[in-house]
Formats: sequence, structure tokens, C-alpha cells
Amino acid sequence: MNKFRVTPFLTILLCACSTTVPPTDTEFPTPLVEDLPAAVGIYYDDELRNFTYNETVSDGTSWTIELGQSNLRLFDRLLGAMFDRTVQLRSIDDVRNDPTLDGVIRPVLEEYAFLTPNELGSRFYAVSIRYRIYLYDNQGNEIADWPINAYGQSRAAVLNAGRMRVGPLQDATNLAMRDAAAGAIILLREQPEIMALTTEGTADDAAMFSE
Amino acid sequence: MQRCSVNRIISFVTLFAMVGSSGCVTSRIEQARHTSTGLQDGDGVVILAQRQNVDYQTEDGFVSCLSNELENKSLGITMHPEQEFMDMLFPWFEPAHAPTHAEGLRELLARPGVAERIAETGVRYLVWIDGNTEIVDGGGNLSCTVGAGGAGCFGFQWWENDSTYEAAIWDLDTLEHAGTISTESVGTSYLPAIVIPIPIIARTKSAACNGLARQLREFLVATPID
Repeated sequence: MNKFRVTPFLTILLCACSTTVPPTDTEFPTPLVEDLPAAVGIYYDDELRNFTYNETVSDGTSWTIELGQSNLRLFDRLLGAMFDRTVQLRSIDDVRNDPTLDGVIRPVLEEYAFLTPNELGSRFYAVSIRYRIYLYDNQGNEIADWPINAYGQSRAAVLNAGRMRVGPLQDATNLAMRDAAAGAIILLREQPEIMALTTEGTADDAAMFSE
Repeated sequence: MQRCSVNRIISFVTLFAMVGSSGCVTSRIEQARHTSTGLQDGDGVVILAQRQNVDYQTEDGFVSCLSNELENKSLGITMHPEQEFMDMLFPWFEPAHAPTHAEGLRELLARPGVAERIAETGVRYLVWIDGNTEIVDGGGNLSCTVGAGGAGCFGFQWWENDSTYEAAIWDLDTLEHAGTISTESVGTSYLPAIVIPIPIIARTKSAACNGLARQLREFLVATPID
């Protein structure tokens, strides 16, 4: 009578109601690319700086993923390696006050999504991220934008419960962000609008794309 | 007296579980060589896992096992850590952007700074690993209970593991695909339980790692044939 099954007991013990995935201090590697001879302003809006994703998944667990700090670290490293000089701006219009700047880049995190091993029917956490990179000329006019789709996955721990779930999702998120960085640097360097920033008379060339 | 004999039985079962806990594994290795190979002083080897597949991923543990097994200073095999290599060459060997054929590798090395950075690492051979270990079959039933008088399990479970991996070896000096080695290890694990579960594990991943490492070692140090 006083005997009971182990499995349901353990399940009740291990079940968690909410899980927060804090930002990690993972450093993104410096890209092995020649920097473009251009000076650009970088504008991070508050949404990117403080990006937090909330979702309650099918098993009832609510997740909170904090990405703000990681976003800034990612783009600081990426754009810093890509251009000769970068300057952080408080607003896009600030570019008009600095005649040394050739344009402005504004990264936006459009979409973050993840799937748990239960939802995927596998042993992995999978994360997808979509950033959009906006380019403005040195008068603050939008010239072009490019979507960056990225993906990361990480194997779940053997005991996929409680705090053991944070690490794999964090890893999958970091891998997706790293994939985004790789995709962005390869894509952006091939864009004529970006290359136009580096030529003589950049303002005129860049403005040509905005017309 | 009774307590003594129970302790003996438990000791015997534990000893049996520790000593006789390996199941049978059948392994097969195939090799295709395209160009001659050989190692000189300072030549390094890096193992990179293919991570383009959404359905599965080569386990980090397999890559580190292979790396540890392959490292052999006396044969001149110096391993370079995977993550360090990828970081030094970021973003060119990231899963979605890494070259997938020799022509792509040639194009990559023509990019400014890439060939120089690879030379800095000392890596001569790049080994792409693809594959994983999965359970392909299984059955049986096992249940465990806990009560005031103690705990115990009863039943029998079995499962079959299949470890399939392929190593593509690229020579960064000649920019050629030097060859491919593939391995498949299959084994069935058993878990009988009469009070105490006694796992008899078929270590297919370990067998695949050891077999692939042995074959890779021979492949890399082979005297050039021309």
C-alpha cells in the first residue's frame, strides 16, 4: 500500500514552472576580414538593448530569455571589425552632426523563436533568430535593409529538467547569434550599398541608392 | 549468517556488473584515398564536426574522443582544438558557411588573410566528421519500486545502437580532398534486472571512435606514394 512508483514522484520533483535564461558573457570571435575604409555610426534602439523574449511552451513551463547585452556585444564586435571606425549614436539623426561619418547602421532583432526537445521530438534545443540590418546615409535617410536569418541547436542534458535546461538553450542561442554574425559579415560585405560607403564621395554614392 | 550471504551476493552482482558490463560490438571501416599524405614537423590536424544537419549533430564527445585518440607526438600528429581553429578563422568555417568541396576551399584560401591565418595555426590536415550514434531498435520492460522495506527493479530491456561516422580529410597544403574514411559500429545493449539492474552496454560510439582514430592515424602518416 505504501509503495509508489519512482517515475511520477521524480517528475513532480523535477517539474519547474518558470525558467530564466540570463545573458552569457560569451565573447564572439573577431571576424577574419579586412575592415572597410569607412566610418559609420551605430544606432542601437532600446528594444535591441533590452530585448527579452517570453514564452510559455506546451508543457506549461514559461521561459524568459534575456538577449539585450548579448546583442550589443555581438554587433560591437561585428561592426567594429567590419569598418575602419565606428561611433555609437544616440539617434540616427545624430549622423548629421558628425561630418566624418559615411552612414549609419541600425540592427534590429525582428524575431526570436525556440523549440524544446519535447516540441522537436529530438534531443535538441533549436533556436532561430532573424535580425534586420538597416543602412542610412550620412543625412539619416534609409538606403537599404537586409534580413539575417540564423539558426543554432544544442543537445539537451541527460536530465532535462530545472536548471539543467538553461545551459543547452543558452548554448543554442549563442550559436544562433554566432551564425547571425557570420551570415551578416559575409552578406554585408557583398552589398553595393555598403561598398559605396567606402568610395570617394560616399555621400553622393550612398544617396544614389536612397533615390 | 544470512546478512553475510546477502552481502556476498550483492558484492558478486556488483563485481559482475563492473567486469562483465560490455556487450558485443561489430565494426566495419572503409577507406577511400584520393591523394598521398604524410606528416612533417609542425604539421597539425584539426577535426571539425559537420553541423549543417538539422536532424542530428555529431556529438562533441565523439570529436574530443577522436582528437584524444589521434594525438600522437611520436608519430608527429599534433591536434589543434576545434573551437580555437573556428574562432581564429571566424566566420569562414562556421556551419552554414564552411566550404563543402575542394573548389570552395581554394576560393576561401584566396581571401585576404585566410591562408596566412591557417599557416599561423600550423594545421595541415582538416578532418570533417559527420555522423552520430542513435538507438535504432529496442524493447522489453523494466520497472522499479521503492518501499519501506527497500527498493528494487524487475524486468528486462534491450536496445540496439548504431554509430555511423564519416571522416573527410582535406589537405590544406595541396588544397585537395585527400580521402574519406567511414565507420559503422553496431551493438545491442541489455539491461536485465532482478532487484538490481545489471547493464551490459555495447559501447558502439567508443568502438567507432577507436577504429576511426586508428585508421586516420595510418592514413595521415602514410609515406607519400609519389
